[in-house]
Amino acid sequence: MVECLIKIENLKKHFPLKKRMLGRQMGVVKALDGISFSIREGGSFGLVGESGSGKTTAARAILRLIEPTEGKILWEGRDLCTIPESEFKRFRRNMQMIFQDPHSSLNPRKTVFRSVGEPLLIHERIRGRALRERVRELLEIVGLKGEFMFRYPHELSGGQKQRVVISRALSLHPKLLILDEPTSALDVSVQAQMLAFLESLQEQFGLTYLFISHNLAVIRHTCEAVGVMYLGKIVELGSAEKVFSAPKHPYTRALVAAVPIPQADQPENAVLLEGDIPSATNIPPGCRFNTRCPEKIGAVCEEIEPWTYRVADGSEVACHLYRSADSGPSRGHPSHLNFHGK
Amino acid sequence: MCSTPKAEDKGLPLLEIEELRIEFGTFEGVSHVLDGVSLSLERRGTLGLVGETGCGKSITAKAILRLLPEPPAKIVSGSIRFQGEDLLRKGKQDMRKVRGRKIAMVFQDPMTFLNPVFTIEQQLVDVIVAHDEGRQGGRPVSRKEAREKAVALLRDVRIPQPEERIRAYPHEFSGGMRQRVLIAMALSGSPDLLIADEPTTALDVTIQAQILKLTRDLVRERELSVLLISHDLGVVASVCRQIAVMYAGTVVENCSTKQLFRNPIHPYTQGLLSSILTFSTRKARPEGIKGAIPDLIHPPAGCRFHPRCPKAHELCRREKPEAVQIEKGHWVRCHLHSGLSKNG
Repeated sequence: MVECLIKIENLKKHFPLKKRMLGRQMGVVKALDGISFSIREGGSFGLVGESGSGKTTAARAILRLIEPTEGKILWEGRDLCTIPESEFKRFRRNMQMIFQDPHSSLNPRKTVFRSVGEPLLIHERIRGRALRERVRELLEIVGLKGEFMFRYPHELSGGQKQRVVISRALSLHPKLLILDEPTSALDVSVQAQMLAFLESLQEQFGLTYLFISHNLAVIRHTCEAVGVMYLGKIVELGSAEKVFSAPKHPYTRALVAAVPIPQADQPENAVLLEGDIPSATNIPPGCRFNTRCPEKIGAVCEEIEPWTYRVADGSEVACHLYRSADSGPSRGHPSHLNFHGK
Repeated sequence: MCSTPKAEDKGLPLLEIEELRIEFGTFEGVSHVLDGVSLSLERRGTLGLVGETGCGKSITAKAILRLLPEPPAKIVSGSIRFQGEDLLRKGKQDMRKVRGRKIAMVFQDPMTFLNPVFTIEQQLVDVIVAHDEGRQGGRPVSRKEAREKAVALLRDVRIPQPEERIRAYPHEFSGGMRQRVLIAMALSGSPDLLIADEPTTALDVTIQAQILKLTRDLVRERELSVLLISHDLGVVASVCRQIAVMYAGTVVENCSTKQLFRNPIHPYTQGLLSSILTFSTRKARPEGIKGAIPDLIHPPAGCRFHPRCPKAHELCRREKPEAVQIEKGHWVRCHLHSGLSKNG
């Protein structure tokens, strides 16, 4: 088996919905309803899906920024959920997160030096000239000149701010970097630069990436394995090449077909999804995609939650269409997916 | 050129912008935001305006509707002729008759443009009544008639069960549905031209595909002309037959969608196309364009793209290139091609 750095098993996060006055529980928002995947050391895994599918909740639960309701997060074999909060603070330096909007990730009243230097000050007690040298080094790694450390965020462009945020994330030598929509706020011309830069960083420092994006092209270009999320579950999991060149799940197919292609004479979309993603408070019974699915078989989709089937090319799909095509027994819980990078 | 055109003159473009120059007064100095923008849009045509953030796409759109605050904005020179009339010469009252009834606009974030405390019905009916007030002759529309019209509009933008949904508040609608409501609102004055400024940027891809399909259908059904602004060439290509590429306040290339993808001429357009992450094939590594967009308070002399251009030479630093026709309907502003035939 491939060495995996982090392995997520049946991770769930349910938020209780309370009535304002009496605090009575009115229901639950099943933001994350049992997802499993693993990432090999030095690999990159992508989570895609529409907004509201639980991508960001997954990232936050993995970092334990919110406590998961159920499930395991195995880091080199050790379950992170059992580590007490006080100890976890020290552990968290191994995993860093980069958020979508670099502007709101930087304190407007702090110079770049103070923002980038703060983790070093807290975790490594580096001060004075040594700290300044470290910050200068970090900025040079991300391709910014040393004098940027005396600037304030408003003096930087979007791409430069994103680089500052990355240098701060790198300051404690993390192993895992979670990138939540790292390029959405950037222009296309800068986006391409940023992705190339992230790739070179990964090679340089042997980082492991968890990419989160609604942009399929970004995931396709950066990740070797990908999980497609819909309403808190992974509905298709496999190598990026397979999932995007031959999508299996009807949702993945619709998602792929919806991307506008930059070319003249576009084909009229064959599959156009109707309606919107349902609310996570009221997940449709049976297959959660049945309300919008263009390839619904019948009653079985409305009544029975599909198991996860492994298809011939190694992808795993949670859909009734693949009941007969199953080439290996699926284990345990429905949608209990287990895929190892390359 | 033609100084006194007739409004109904056939063969005349619906919208024609010529050498539009706009400046913004800022604390740091005067920002030269638009530097001679020329565009034209045929009747029932679809034109896409693409470019990076800050290249002047939205400013151009707002200038057409005269929505720019003046000051700080200042229209220095140029003309915007719509159906033969120069919109820049119109007074405030006359412009109100143009907005909504002749040219309507849809913006990026639908929630910002809907009032959260009123139902969709109240907001749509208000707009329909307001559009009707200025019309000459005939009986004013009653609120009951306006409501019927509102329901019909919601049906036109494919909102299911419009009779019931019209009573909902904006928060009860999803992002895609809200954008449909805004499109319905824009259509309520039966405009000839619809300007859509990044209409799908805030939406998911699946919802984006729905809205783009709706736009294509509306163009067909309603004989509408569309000016679509987007940073996404894929979005523009799926709706528009013409594309204008903007960079730092100028249109650098203007041609049909087919020509743009078959034969991009301007180095900026080429850079833009090469930085797109294509989905179908995994390219080696998209290149992107080095550098960042220039400061428009002190724009580079000559061609504004020269500091980032891989093919820049001496002339590019000195002189601003003229627009040249490369082939029929394919205009480009670049010194590399200014030596070529000017008549196509």
